[in-house]
Amino acid sequence: MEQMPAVAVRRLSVSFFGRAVIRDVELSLPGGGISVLVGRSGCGKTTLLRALNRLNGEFPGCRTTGQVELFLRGGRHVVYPGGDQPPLELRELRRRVGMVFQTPQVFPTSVYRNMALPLQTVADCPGTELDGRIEAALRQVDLWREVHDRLQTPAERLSGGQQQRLCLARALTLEPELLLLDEPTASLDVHAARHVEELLLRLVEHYPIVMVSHSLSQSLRLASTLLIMGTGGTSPRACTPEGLDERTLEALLQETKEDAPCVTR
Amino acid sequence: MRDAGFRCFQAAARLSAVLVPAFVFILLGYLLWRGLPVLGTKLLFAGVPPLDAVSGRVPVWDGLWPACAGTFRLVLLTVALALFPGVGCGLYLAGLATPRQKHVFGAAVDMLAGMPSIVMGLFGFMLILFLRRTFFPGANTGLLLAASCLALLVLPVLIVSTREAVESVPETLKLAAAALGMSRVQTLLRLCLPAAAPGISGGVVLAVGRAAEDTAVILFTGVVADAGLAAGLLDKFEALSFEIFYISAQYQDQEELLRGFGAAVFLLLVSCVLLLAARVLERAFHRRWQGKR
Ligand SMILES: Nc1ncnc2c1ncn2[C@@H]1O[C@H](COP(=O)(O)OP(=O)(O)O)[C@@H](O)[C@H]1O
Ligand SMILES: [Mg+2]
Repeated sequence: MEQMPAVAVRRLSVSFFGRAVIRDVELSLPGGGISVLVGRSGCGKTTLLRALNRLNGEFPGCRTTGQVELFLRGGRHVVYPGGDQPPLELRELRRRVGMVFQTPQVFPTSVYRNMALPLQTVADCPGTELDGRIEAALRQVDLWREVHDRLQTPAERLSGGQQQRLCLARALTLEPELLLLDEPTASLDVHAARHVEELLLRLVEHYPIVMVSHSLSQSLRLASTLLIMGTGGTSPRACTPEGLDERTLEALLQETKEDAPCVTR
Repeated sequence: MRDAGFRCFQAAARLSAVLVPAFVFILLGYLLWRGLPVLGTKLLFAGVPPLDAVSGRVPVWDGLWPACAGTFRLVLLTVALALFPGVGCGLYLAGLATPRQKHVFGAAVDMLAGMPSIVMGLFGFMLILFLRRTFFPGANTGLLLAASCLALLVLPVLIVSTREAVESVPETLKLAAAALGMSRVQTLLRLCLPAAAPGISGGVVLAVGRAAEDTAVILFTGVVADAGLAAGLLDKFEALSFEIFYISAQYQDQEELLRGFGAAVFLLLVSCVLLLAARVLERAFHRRWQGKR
């Protein structure tokens, strides 16, 4: 089944203080399903993911060249300046491309305010709609039943798995059109990780997901497209997970690693 | 051998730890022992009916009431003047300034922090002299000038505590806010500032203490021994810290000296009330922001 792409990456290079982390990456990601990025630690997975919502720019010494195109509602948008159209405004880009990090980043405030803050500041949500949208997002991540009577308690009081689902819900309140997840289960116990995985399989019906995974077995469970990234920050190699098991995937990873020297320039 | 060395170290450390509460205890104990017996409405109002004295209908000449009220107003005015620029500057330094600006502004703040209060008082006094010769021949020292100079004095405390509290918000949280689409200013004002509230309130507490105890600044800028209740912001005023200094320099009999101890106890009380108020406000805010329980 051929799908419209959600993301197209063209000759993307990112460097920090002159040290290249990813070079000339070409990539196309399908508009549905979960694309899982795997690779050795430090090979630039997080950097590639952050390039999709321009988050690398928050770090000092970062330089990005090349282009990222997003195919969202309302057609094609470019992320970086220098394309054939003006790039998406930062706030709009980040609202439409939600992101969840490796460790749950809950704000040191109540559950309710965690959800309300981005709604108020980014989505300009009127006060009357606040409660409804918060409840809807919390229901989407199975959290409503667990926290509906503790909305006013500190979010840091929740368990790790609950915190990560809260972060997911916080991104979902903004009604994103693409989700970026950076090892979302790496800091969770097996049980909580499974819960998040089930959730992702449900959410993918509504949002295309790009995620980095630290676990090969998880990648095989979730991926509709596997992206195997070699060291040296070159273009990841795309393949389908059909017929793969952990051993062959591990071998593929090894192979891609050895391919790395074929960097041009 | 090493064991004995460790024992020695442990004993020394414990001794220094005990020293602080011991001194606090002795200090407070002595103060209360001398001050408490003279404490009462007579010391405060010198026979004037309290209600009349508090409302200012009947002037109090011998009591400590005008000095109490003066210190209270002085401290409130000082904090009111210093809070906004202090917190604003701290926020700017922590969140928006370039490294170069941080360096330059930070050095200026450090210099201001190192300024002796007597110099600050002298500066206020020179300012009035300058104003008299130039634009306002009628300019004179008073409550507003004293509070302004004190505000300058406590500004670094507020700036540094705000800056440190805001900078201690983890980078990863700021990154998460940025990833949600919040701008830097929104992150600073809506996330970092409330998260830094306990630190800022700590700074306010220090500022209150500093403003309440300072005598050098107000000596030059409008405090007098017998102003009564200051009617307005530009009038001369009384203050407890100066009252203590004045009494201890001028006392003629034991009873007058005891009045000095009474004033010291009152100064302590006024500070405590203000500090408690600051803490209660901060707690209430924090509970609202962070969630209950
Ligand atoms: N903000 C940054 N500043 C400097 N170097 C960075 C920064 N982010 C990532 N890097 C470097 O880029 C390389 C890839 O990092 P990352 O994308 O986090 O790898 P991965 O997520 O695959 O483990 C690492 O060598 C890391 O040191
Ligand atoms: Mg990573």
